[in-house]
Amino acid sequence: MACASSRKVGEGTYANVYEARMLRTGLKVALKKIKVSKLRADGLDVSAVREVKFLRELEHPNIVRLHDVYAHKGNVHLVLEFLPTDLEAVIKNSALTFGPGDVKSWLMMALRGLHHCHRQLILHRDLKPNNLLLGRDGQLKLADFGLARDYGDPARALSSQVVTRWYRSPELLLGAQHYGPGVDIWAMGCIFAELLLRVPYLAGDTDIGQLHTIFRALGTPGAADWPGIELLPDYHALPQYPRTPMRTLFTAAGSETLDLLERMLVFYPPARISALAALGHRYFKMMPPPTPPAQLPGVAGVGGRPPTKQVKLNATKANPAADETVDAKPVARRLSFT
Amino acid sequence: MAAGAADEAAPPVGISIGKLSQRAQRREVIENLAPPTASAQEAAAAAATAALAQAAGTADTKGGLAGASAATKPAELQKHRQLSEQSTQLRHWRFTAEQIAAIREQANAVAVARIKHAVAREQALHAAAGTTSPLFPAPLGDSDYITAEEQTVLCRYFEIMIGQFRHILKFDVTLQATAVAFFRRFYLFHSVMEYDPKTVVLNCTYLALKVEDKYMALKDFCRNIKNAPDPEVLLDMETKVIQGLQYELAVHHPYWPLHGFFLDMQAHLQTTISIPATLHAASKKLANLYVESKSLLQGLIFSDAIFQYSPAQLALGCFVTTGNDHGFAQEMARYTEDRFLHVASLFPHGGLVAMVERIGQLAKAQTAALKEDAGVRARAAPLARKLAKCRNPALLPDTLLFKQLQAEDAERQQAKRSDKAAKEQAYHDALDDVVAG
Repeated sequence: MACASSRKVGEGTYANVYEARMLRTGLKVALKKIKVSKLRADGLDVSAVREVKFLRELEHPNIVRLHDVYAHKGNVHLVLEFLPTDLEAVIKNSALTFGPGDVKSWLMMALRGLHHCHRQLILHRDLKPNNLLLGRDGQLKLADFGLARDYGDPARALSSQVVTRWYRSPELLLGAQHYGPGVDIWAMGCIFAELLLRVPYLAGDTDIGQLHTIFRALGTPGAADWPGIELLPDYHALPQYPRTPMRTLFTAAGSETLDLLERMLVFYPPARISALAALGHRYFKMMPPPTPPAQLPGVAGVGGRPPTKQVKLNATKANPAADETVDAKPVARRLSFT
Repeated sequence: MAAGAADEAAPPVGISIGKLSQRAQRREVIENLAPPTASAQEAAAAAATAALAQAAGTADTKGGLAGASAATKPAELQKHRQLSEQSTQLRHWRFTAEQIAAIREQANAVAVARIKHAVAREQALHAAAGTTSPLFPAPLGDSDYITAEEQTVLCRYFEIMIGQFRHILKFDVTLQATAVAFFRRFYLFHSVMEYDPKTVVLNCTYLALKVEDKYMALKDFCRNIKNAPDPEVLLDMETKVIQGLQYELAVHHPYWPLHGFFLDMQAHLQTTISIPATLHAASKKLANLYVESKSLLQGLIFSDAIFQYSPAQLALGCFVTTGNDHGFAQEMARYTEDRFLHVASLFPHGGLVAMVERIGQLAKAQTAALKEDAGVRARAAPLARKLAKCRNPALLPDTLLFKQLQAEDAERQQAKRSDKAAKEQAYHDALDDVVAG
């Protein structure tokens, strides 16, 4: 046997995850035991097949590493890099304070991982804070490729029933069957906003309500904002809402921050910024610089800065470019979302 | 690489004979081969082509040909090369013709040795019970085994069968190519004498349906296939098949690069022809050539070419060959020169032109071979009869050996369990002593 598992750390729809050690190297790993699907009717779960397919091809510091796959007693086991926590847990931990450099650092790592997927023509299709895992060294890694697939072949229709509701892009909500990296960018935009707000940004309570929630926050797109919107399969008369300026909700964010956020949450999918262009955005070049991963809040064990006033430090170091002075104040605060 | 760990995983019953797990066998086969110098060079060439094809292939989504011009910069080329070198297809499933032949011979020899041993045991078990083995009344002679060459003939029949599944289940050529690639990859390292191709071909097709997002329930799948075995049989085999594929399920095919070259050639025509009417005629011709070359590709999917060349190389080879045959040679030559002259050093063995020629000849031969279906069947039938007499008894449920091995396995498991229980008991006893003391 390759791994000795010690304790169960998670349960998914198609797998149980255990903390384990590789017998040969002693390396601590996460062991994902694929559940045999209901009464083994269809054999190996299709999500597991997707996860194995894509993780075998992807190798990047910001994508979870698949050390090995093996079968034992007829069950397939995935040996994954062990990552103690995830971004959702960090966002929800009210004991932690985020500085603007921290948010920038997380977003940058997430976009790097995402760009690596996209340039290999792979869509993740389930981005959410819960699937952005954090290592002991603070590195953020994209995980859970159970919904991933390759894209770009116009002859093949894709399912619009993907991505967790709050992070689902408007074209998916309107039933689009031909889409691209824009769906991941939209989700990433929602995560970016969530990092700034500390609560989910577009939290709809039903699939239909999700579209309303989006329009309430960003305004209903007009014909000019989204050419061809009426051609989407589930298009219907859209509820009309005016656009609220982002500034009113994101009071503490700098204009570069908001500019990037707005570009990630553009309605018309082809006009949405790409992961690569987002990484080249001015936001990443302005002060404060992204916090080194090991110094990010919530980094378990070693290092990991206590929840104190690092932010002030940043503020004094920062070259107070007129633009970003607001950014230098602590962004982190819980806002009630109406 | 992530090898090793699976070696220790409990091997399926019967594989322990001959002391070679699937992965260990694969490693041994590969390490015994000559260093793949030629393949390394071809791989580099593949990467160069792949870079361009990839850039061109996405041009429609990017709305321009930024990618193609980027590929002319050495640094960019370097980056793309590293990217395409990451694919498991290029790292683990690329071989020269000599390597392929050697791997097949080796895999066959290993299987034969294992079966010889198993047959002897089966006969001994029967002798001990005072009966004769109905399957193996006499020891097998050397000519009773399926040879590596016979296996390729037999497999061909099943590969063609995947094409029939395509019509029944209505999937596209990409999915068909994935299923065929799985099947070819599996039998490169395994023997039909140990894994029944009738089952494996269905496993590969069903796995391809999962991998290419055209998932259907297994019982629906089996219902649609004539003479399909019980779903249970497929389920039992699935894990072994995936294991035999090294859990590497992403397969790349020439169809997409071909489309990429088509788009890029259109763009290239616009830079070389300035008269609108001429350009229009040339573009129209190019569209016809694209369709034509797509059918030329079809034969390659069913051949060893998928191990020898990258998808982009195959695509370019077919496209240029089709162009040369249909009075488009000049344009094709100008295109390849403009795009690939700066990386000419990456194409060994006579350069790009020679490579195109090799692929073109192969494609024509294969596509012609594909047309004579009946011959395939006639050639495979006697081999199927031969196969029925030389299968590994350790893997056949009706044999005494199979039952014996299962009993041994159960015994081992039981011993392990009682060993664990004894250890736990000892621990508790020790604990009791401490508490009592």
